[in-house]
Amino acid sequence: MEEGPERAGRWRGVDGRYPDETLGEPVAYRIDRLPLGMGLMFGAGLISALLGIGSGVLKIPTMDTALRLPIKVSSATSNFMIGVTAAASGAAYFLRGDIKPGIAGPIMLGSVLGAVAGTKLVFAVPGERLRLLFVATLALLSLQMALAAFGVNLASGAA
Amino acid sequence: MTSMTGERLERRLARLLGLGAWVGSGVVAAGFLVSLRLPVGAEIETGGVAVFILLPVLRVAVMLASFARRREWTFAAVAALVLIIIAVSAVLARAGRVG
Repeated sequence: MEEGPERAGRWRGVDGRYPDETLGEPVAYRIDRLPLGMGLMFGAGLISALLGIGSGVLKIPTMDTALRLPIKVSSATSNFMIGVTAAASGAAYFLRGDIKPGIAGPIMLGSVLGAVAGTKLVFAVPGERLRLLFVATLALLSLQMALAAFGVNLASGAA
Repeated sequence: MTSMTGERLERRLARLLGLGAWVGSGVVAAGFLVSLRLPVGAEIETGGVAVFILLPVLRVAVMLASFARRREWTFAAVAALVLIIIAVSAVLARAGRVG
């Protein structure tokens, strides 16, 4: 899809650049096809809510393909979006008193440590390898879900 | 946000959120230790969880203030909408509380 004439000026504010340590210099990028991206994001949110799948696996390919963002930008943006949406539902559960501190506390600490480690890694790993890792994870998840659909549960103790 | 101000905002946000994550982790860890001896520890842990839940909300609030100050009204409106949705969600949850 070739570059059209000057796009609506309003969205140019979202263009950006980020420092990529593996390439050694800042990488400039711009948003493309925002309406398509928004439509797909809506679908991703819908599917995620209906099926209970983590929305990251749907949002990152959307950003990668429809918006044509670099993979690290997609990953970081997805994390941010999920943080906000999780905060919204987390606040709701919290105010209903549904969160058990004895369980939530340690889980949270472990998650934070993992997230910090992962965030540091994301700068060091080359973009293409990150994309491959994502595809591999997606494939594994798909396999697990397909098996679960036929009653074979790999993750839990009970069949 | 390609301007220098945008980058400075990003750095400040990162520091703020990083600090918040440390505070939250500290509260949760302290609560856990206290809970080994006193029941109030569970409430402290819950407070730590609340800190974490607030962090993304705080981020959006800071972004809203930044957009408004720089008169980028479209983005400010989006940020405000996100905050409103979270607030409505919280109010509805509180109203539907069981016990």
